Amino acid sequence: MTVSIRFAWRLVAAFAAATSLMTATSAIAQESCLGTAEALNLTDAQAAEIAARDLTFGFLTNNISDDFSRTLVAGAETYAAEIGVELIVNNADFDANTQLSQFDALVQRGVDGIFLTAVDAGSIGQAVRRANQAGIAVFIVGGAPARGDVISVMNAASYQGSYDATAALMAEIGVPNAQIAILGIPFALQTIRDREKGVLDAVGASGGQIISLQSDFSQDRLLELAANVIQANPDLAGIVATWSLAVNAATEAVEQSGRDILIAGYDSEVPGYMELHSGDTNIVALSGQQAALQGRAAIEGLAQSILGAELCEEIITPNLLVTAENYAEMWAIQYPGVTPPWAE
Amino acid sequence: MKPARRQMADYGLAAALLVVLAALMLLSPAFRDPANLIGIGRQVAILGIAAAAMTFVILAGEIDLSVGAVASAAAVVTAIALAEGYGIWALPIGLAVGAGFGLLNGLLVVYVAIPSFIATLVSFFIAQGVALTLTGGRTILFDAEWFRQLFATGVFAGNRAAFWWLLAVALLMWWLLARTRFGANIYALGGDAESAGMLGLPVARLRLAIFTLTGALMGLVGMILIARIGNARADGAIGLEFDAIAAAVIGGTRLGGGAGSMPRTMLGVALIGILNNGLAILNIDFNTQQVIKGVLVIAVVLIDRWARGGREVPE
Repeated sequence: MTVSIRFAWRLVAAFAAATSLMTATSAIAQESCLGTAEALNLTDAQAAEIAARDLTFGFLTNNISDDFSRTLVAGAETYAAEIGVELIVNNADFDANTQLSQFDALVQRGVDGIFLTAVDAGSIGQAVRRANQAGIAVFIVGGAPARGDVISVMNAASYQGSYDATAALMAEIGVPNAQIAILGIPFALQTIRDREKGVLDAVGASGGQIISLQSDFSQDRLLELAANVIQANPDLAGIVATWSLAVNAATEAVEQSGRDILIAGYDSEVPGYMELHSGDTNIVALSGQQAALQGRAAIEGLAQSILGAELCEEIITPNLLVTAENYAEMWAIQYPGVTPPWAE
Repeated sequence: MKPARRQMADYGLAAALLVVLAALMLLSPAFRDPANLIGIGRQVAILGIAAAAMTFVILAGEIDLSVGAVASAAAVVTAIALAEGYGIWALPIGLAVGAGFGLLNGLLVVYVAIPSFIATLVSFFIAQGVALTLTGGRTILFDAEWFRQLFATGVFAGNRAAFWWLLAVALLMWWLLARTRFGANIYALGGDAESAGMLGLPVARLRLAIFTLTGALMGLVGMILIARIGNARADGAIGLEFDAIAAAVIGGTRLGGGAGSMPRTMLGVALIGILNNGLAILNIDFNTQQVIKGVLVIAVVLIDRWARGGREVPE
C-alpha cells in the first residue's frame, strides 16, 4: 500500500515537473515569437529582400460589402504594392464553397502565401492542409481553422474594445442600476462572444443591469428591434451596439424615439463618424478596429514567415476608442489616406 | 364541407392572428401599448409591399427571387442621386431602376423562354453586382430630410409615412386583383397558362406587366428602406424575397399559381410582424425567436389547410 502511494506521489511530482517544463518552454517560445503588429514590421533590409524575391500572395476576403473588409483589403493592397509583392484578391461574398474554390485555385497557382478572412473557419481546414502540403504559408483573421496549420491568427481586441466603449457609456450615464440593452449579431463567433462579454463585464463593474439582448443581420430589422426595446423599457438608459449596422440602427431608433438614451458601439464606420462629427449625437464612444493596420500586418506576417521568423499563435491588434472629442484624429489612424466624409 | 370547418376555412387565419395577438397582449403590457401596436404597421411596411408584389407573381404561376437585390440596387441608386443633389428626380430614377430590372425579368421569361426561377436569379446577381460596384462596399449617406419624411419618418394621421405607403399599395393591389380584368387574367394565367393562351388572353403582355410592376414596387421598397434607416448599402434588402414568399404562402397563396388573395397575404404579413415585435419585446433571443416563429407559422398553415379541406383560398 505504502509503495503504491509513493509511486502515485512520484507520478504526480513527475507530471508537475513536466508541466512546469512545458510551460517554461512555451513561455520562452512565446517570447521569441512575433506577437504584435509592431513586431511584424519589416526593416528596410527585409523589405528589400522581399522585393527581390518577386513574391505573390493571395488574399481571400469573406466579403467586401462593409467598411472593415474594404479597409482591410486596401491596407493589404497598399503595403503589398509598397514592398513589391503581387497581391491577388478574391471576394467570396459570404459563400464558404466559393471561398474553398478560390483557396484551391491559389494553391494550384502556387502562390507564396495566403491571407484570409474565412467565411467559415470550420470548413476551410482541408484547404489549409492542402496549402500546408504545398508549403504555402497561411495567415488568418478571426478564428483558427478546424484542421491544418496557420502561421498565426490575427484578431482585433474584441473584449477590451467593447469593454472600453461600454465603460465610457456607463461613466457618462453615471447612475447606479442603469438599464442597458445590447443590440448585436447572431453569429456564433468567438469575436462576437468576446464583444458581448466585454459589455457584460463593463456594465457589471459599474453596477448597471442588462435588460435586453437582441440581434439580427439586417439594419432594417435591427432598427425594429431597437425601437421595440426602447418602447418596452421606459427607464432604458443606454444601448450597446456590438457591430456596425447595430450602431446605425440604435442611433436611428433613439433619434426617432426622441428619448435621451446614450449609445456605445463596437465598429466605427462612416455613419458613426458622421454622427460624432454632427455635434448632436447620443453616441458616447465607438470601438474602432484597425483594419488597415491588420491588412498591412498580414502582408508583413507572411513576409516575416517566408524570411524564417516565427509568429505567435495569436496576434491581437488594439482597437481605437473613438469619441466626439477625438474622431478626426482617430479617422486618420483608422482610415489612413482616406478623405474624411465630412471633408468631401 | 361542414359549416364549422367552412367558417374555419374563411376566418381561420384571422382567428389564429387574433389568438397570437391576444396571447402577446396578455404576456406583455409593453406589447399592448397602443403606440407599440401602431408601430407594427410601419415595421411591416417593407415586407408588406414586397409580399403584395410577390402575391401577384406567384398567382401568375411564376416566382421572383430578385426582389431583395433589386430593392437594394434601387435604394443605392436613389441614395446616390439624393447625395448628388438630384432632389425630387431621385424618385423617378429609383422607380425606373426597379422597373427596369422587373422588365428585364419579364423579357427573359417571355422572349427568351427562361423559367422565372432562373431569370430572376440572373437579375439577382446583376442587381447585386450593380449595387456593389456603385457603392464599392461603402455605406452611402445622404442628407434629404424631406425624402425621409415622405417615405418613412413623417407622421400623418397618427402613423408614420411608411405605414400609409403600405396601405396605399395593398389597397391598389387588392383593387387590381379583385376588381379588374387584369386581376382576373392573372388568376386565369396562374390556373392554366396554356388554356389562358388558347382563350386569347395576352399572356406575354400580362407576364411583362406583372414583372415590371413588381420591379417598380421594389423601387418603392428601396426608397422606403433608405428613408427608414437613413443610409444605403449594397446588401440592404438581401433576403427580402424569402420573407415575401413566406408571407404570401402563409396567407394561402398557392405556389403553383391561380389561387390566393391580397387580404390574406396581408394577414400573413401581419402575423410575421406581430410575432417579430412581440417576441423581441418579450426579450426572447434570436435563435429561440426563429424556432417559435417557425413552429407557429407551420401550425397556422396546417390548421388553415385542414380547415379548407383542399378548397382553394377564396378570391
